[in-house]
Amino acid sequence: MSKPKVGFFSFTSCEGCQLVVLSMADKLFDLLGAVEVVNFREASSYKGEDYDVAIVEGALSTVHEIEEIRAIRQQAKILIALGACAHIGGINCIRNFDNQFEIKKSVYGDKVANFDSILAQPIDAVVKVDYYSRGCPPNRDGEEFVEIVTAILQGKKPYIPNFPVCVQCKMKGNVCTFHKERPITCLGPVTRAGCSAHCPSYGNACIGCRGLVEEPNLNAHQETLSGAGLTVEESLKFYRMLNGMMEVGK
Amino acid sequence: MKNYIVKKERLNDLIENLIKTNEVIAPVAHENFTAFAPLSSPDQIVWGAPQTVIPPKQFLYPQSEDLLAYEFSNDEVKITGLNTVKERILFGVHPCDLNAIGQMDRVWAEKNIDSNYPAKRKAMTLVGVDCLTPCSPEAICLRLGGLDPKGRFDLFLTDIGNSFSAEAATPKGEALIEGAVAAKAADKKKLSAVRKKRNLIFDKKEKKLLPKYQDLPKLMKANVDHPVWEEHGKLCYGCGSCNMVCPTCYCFDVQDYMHVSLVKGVRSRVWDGCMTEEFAKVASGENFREDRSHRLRHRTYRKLNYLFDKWGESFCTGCGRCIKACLTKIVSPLEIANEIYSRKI
Ligand code: SF4
Ligand code: SF4
Ligand code: SF4
Ligand code: SF4
Repeated sequence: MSKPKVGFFSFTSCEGCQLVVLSMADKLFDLLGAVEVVNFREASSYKGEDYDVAIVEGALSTVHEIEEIRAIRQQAKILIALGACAHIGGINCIRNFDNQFEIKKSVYGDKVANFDSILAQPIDAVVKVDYYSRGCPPNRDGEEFVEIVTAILQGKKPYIPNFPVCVQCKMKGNVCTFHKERPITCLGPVTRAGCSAHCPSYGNACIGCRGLVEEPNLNAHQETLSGAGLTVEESLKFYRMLNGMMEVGK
Repeated sequence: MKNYIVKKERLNDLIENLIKTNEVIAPVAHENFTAFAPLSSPDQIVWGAPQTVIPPKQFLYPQSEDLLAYEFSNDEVKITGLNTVKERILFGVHPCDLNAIGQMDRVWAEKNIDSNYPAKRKAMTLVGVDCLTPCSPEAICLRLGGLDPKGRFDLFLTDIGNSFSAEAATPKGEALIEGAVAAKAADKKKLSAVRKKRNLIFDKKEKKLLPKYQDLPKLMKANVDHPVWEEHGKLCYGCGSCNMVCPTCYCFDVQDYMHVSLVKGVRSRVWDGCMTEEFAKVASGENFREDRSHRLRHRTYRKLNYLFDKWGESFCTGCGRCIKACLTKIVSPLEIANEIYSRKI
């Protein structure tokens, strides 16, 4: 296989995911040995149009972005969604639950008519996504991203766990946030692992940035959360922080 | 078995000395729990409760263990076996975990003999410590045969006031305790009295097991379709917490980590758990235990039925960790057995 040409594209996001890829240090050089980057907004200003693999970060939140992602999909043989915004809409979707007119007005003031902003949505709400590099941001040492690229080069399926974060959290020997002296509620039991339980390992709760497992037990989680004192409204808010999109379906 | 008695300060001195030349691992404070970690001072050891979040199995079959490295050159593959073995002394291991290690010794020595486990095990010196009161409300060790360590240690300490009684089951254990100043041979009188009192406390405090211990496999076999599986199973996350924290869960997955250059890679063994969604899924996509209830039954059967039959003892040693870890409180082998026993179908 000749070196695949890779383009990075950015939609509504903080662009932190590209920074994660850039900050992979030693792994980055290995990657650059395997692929040719022709478009990388964070790395260089060169804009190539000739790419086979599109790596896309960010959610879609304007009409214009929808047109763009369609064009990218037409060109790319392989499309990878990078990070939570691209994968599940992420934090951008919080605003989907508010009054859109009020929100736009508070951001754009009297220029509101000039902006084509729409409800935020993940990439696969509009086009087919071939691979997901999950997380906000994708796990810091970039291991899963490299795993995906390696799998593509090998022509096999990347290994992405489909079990909850608790598995890796326990492997680390963490004290479960629910069992701390001062308990914190956690989305780990329904969230897809692969981050090595990063947040619980630093004393925080999992907030679900990698999206849910394929068959999350939401009833069990409702029971756990209400047992920990959360109302239904509070539980929904917790989910909506990054996973609001699941409520409307993808 | 040789019996000794050693003053507590003398034992402290011994540990202090051992730390200088060995890796000594023991339970140390970890938030409101404990964790097995290398010691820098004997004062760090937490001798009793609370229990460690995960058992010491990580030192025999680590969470993720590289088994071999491979490298392609021309038409050849070069394969190098990997095994990181370190001489280690594990201090302060409780009876439930000692029993679990004893069970693992049998399991890992069966059939497809693996070279990593035995090498790690051989390099390990096991110093247990007796429990005089249940470590948590979840502990069910007395009920499931985990409280008596049955000689599964090199050395076993019991707190008998200002001294420890030390039982040595192996020459390794004898050599270790004879390194302590003024350790002397002792009879078992004081020890028996302490244990007798201890057993009464455990019997009062631990949840009762309603069926007879010996009848557990039979009870399980007769209740494949008991509603308890479905009732409990529907609240299961498939989160594998109960597997990860269990000293007798030893299932693993084998992963290949190919380097992005595609010329080399590593094959690793990582902890896996039968309660997770895809554990019993095979390449064709078929999943042999798709239902959570089936997975819960399988896990419970491993502890109280299949392995009990095969090795003649419960493979739940009653440490209580899964009972604590399970957020929806559905996994306790003892409670499942009790429910089945008292709700005949
Ligand atoms: S802290 Fe969260 S991820 Fe970790 S075991 Fe508890 S619920 Fe699971
Ligand atoms: S099944 Fe639960 S109580 Fe029994 S040994 Fe395993 S973790 Fe401990
Ligand atoms: S379960 Fe029993 S044997 Fe194990 S640490 Fe707790 S009290 Fe000790
Ligand atoms: S039984 Fe409990 S701890 Fe085990 S997988 Fe199910 S929810 Fe998780």
